[in-house]
Amino acid sequence: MVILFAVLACSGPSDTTRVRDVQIIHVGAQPAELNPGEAGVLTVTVADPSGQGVEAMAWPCTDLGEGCLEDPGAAAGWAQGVELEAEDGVVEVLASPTWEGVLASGEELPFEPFQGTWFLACRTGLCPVIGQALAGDDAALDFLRDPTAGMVDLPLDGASLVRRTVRVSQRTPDERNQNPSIERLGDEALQLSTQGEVGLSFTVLDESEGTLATDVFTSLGTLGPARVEGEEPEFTWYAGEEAGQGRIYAVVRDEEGGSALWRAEVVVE
Amino acid sequence: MLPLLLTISLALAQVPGPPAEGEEEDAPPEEEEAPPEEEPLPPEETEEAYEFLVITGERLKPEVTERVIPMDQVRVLPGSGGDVVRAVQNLPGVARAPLGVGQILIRGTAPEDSAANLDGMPLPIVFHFAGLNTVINGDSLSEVAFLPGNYSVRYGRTLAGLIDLRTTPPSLPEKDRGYLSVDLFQATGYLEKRLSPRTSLSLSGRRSYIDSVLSPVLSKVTGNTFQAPRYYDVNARLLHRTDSGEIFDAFLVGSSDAFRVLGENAETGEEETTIGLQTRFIKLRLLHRRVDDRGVRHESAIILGPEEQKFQIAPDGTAFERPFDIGIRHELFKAPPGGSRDGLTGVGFRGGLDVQLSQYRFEYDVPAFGLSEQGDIGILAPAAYVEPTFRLRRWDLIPGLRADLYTTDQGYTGQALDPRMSVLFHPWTQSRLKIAAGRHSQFPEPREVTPSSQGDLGLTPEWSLQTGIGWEQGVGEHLTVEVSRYYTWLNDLVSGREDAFRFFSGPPPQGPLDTGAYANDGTGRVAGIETLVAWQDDLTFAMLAATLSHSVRQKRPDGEEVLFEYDQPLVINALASRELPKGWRLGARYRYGSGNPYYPLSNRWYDADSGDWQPVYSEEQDRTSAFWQLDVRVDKTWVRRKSEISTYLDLQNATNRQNQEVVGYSDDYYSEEPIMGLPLVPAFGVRVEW
Repeated sequence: MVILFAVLACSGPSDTTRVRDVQIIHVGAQPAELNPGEAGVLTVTVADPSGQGVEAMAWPCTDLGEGCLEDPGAAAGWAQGVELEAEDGVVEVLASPTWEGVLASGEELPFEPFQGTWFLACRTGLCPVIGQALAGDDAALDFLRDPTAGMVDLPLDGASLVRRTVRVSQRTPDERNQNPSIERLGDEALQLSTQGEVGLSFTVLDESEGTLATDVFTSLGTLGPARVEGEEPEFTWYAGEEAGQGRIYAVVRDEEGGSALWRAEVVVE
Repeated sequence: MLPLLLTISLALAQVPGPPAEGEEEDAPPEEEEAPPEEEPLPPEETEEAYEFLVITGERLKPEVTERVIPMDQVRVLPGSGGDVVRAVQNLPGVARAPLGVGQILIRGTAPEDSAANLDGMPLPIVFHFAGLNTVINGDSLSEVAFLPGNYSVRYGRTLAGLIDLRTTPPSLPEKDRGYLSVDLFQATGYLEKRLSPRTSLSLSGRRSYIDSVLSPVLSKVTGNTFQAPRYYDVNARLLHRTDSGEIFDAFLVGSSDAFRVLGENAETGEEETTIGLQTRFIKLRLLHRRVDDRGVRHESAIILGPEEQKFQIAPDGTAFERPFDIGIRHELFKAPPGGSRDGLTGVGFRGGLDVQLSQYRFEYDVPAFGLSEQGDIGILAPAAYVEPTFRLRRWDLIPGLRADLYTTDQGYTGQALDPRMSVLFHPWTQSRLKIAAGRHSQFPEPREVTPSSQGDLGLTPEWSLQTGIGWEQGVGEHLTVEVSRYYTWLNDLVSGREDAFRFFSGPPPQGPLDTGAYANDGTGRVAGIETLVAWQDDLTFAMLAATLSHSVRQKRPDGEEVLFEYDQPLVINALASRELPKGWRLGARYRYGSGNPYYPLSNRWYDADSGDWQPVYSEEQDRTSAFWQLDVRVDKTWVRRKSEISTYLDLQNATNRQNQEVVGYSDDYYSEEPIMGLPLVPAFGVRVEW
């Protein structure tokens, strides 16, 4: 019966694609896979449809079920601020060197070694915990250790918490999983009248095994369906009744930690 | 008339009238109606032979509360669709299952803490999908016993209540008979034939066809190829009674439920199962019963057969449980002398061995639930029990002791010793006082004690201390009143790994999950008062059942005590059915139930690895809005010389009330989206009987 309800909800335009307020859309990793002790770069993309400004922070947290491996015991020095240029900010991450010993031991692990990072982005001034954490105030320590529980104290609109992990292995750069790429098919302008709709087709290139999944988001109107699997995902953008300018985002993920972002300006008249 | 009140039930005209006081154990009414060629039952069998009369007669049972519904009345109860176990859900002590799914929620406990039995032997499930029907045809049963707590040591390995589907007493049919019935959901056929004066055979089959209607509709709505729920079951029974009164009873039950959503594989373009759920089992129950020269009844039974639950979700999620169970029971029983009001003194007893063997294979490999688990476990669970009965004039003292052992070939061993005690006092003809206390143990699930599934070999059995006191009072010839007070302490409950895949019998759990390791850290308390008022005369049956309860849990010693997820402080069921002239019958049922506790959505976070939103729940519980519903049923029967045709219209939710059943959420957990119950459903059916 529950499945019945779930399946009935899986068609047509989806409100879940609507970006209503500050929202982290994508966190891309470069490279998509790290060696133990290797540094990488995460690029976080944050949508701010209201244009009221965003503040954001990131902190490493590789949680194997008993808390973050990187927990320094105090807030000071744990989180770093994320400077956004337009929508994007960059954060450096370091895969724990301890994985080298674990991987070399040949021990069978019940999970893939990984490096984890949390991101919190908020409308400016909405989340005091960001200021506290960046100032090294231990009042933020509980939040940094268990941010999902800490979200109880933050508003639903205007605060966005995201976790991203990067796989850690001993594979060489040539052997590693690579990020996919995504392109839109066709180049006509995404400009509609109110209540209009238009199809969006993409092609995804990827060399990894497994299924590719593409999720879409928009700050204007809605999209449907919210997720499509495969190398040629197709969506429909429904303009709705609201005129204005906005953006559409498409995020593709492979099953090995690789991802890519496509975005475009849209107009409803 | 002797409206003594060991149990209260819903029987009407077709149940034979009760015997006079003092006759109960000497002259079973079945004798009167038995065909001439059938010998009377030996007097020693009376304890079970009177099962059919428990409504108004009396028998000795240790249970403080055992409510029995004979099959005759079940068929015409409004709102129950003619189903035996759905009828039980009207009784006090049963909470209302959300969405009407097939969960049995007994006295503030979880559905997995209660059991369904066939003559005391375990059954894997009791309902087909969505709780529409019991997996056994009601015509194969003589009664359904509802044991909400403080039951005999005959029953074990269960923390909370029981539903026992009873085919006994084994009675040969007086004549060949059968019927065909069709209704909104299914078609049923039943045939009972006397092969010889001492042997009978009954066969029944049922097939739902709601899928043939729903599948095309759902496929059009969703764009997926939909194979809506379908089920079927078959029952076959061969019964033989020897000249000396021995019984040989073979009963076969098979059941299958399936549901699938088909979609196109993104890679291959071929049609594949997007979501699939299947439950099926076959059980063969063999029973032998005889009474020796000393009046001791010997009963041996074995029930065995395979079961399977299977779940698939694209692209590569699969999970199954495939136990092959064998249950063996040998029991000796001797009733104490006389009736409980005869003023006699004496001793009776019940004792037996109850052995369960199982080869339990499982796999849970659904990526959304994290790590996969596999297991192939051999389980041996022997138990022994003894239960003497001391009859001291108007008192019956029934102490009992049950010893259970549970071992697996994965290195787990657990044991339990459950003492129980019931005291029954019959101060006056129409009154009974019942007091009971006892321990009830339940062993951990196989995965919880399997090291390869992150199980813990150190887990001990969960156990409950159940106490209860009840008063039954007959008022005049037709009215009976029962009030019971119970208090249950739940101890050593297994907590942890709530994020792991499991087969749910209802809506999946919501709210903060305990993802820690398995441990016997959980405790709980349940308290309640149950009231049952029943009126029964030749034309009318009416019942008011009310339950007040409070159920709380504490998952970990350092955690907070919170309301149990199915805690329903007030449940009321009121129903009435009256026979009218010219074959008409009119009935109605009103139900009220408090809403279930839940954790409101507080916020959310996004898992960029999976692309899925995750909920963040409030720390404070709220409660869904209360439920109420009115059902109205009209029956019309035409009696012919050799056949009977009956038809009915059962208006379920006759006022089209919109009840919130479950709190649902949008896929991105941005908003709550209440899931409402069914609108007005005009269920109808026709039955031709000969």
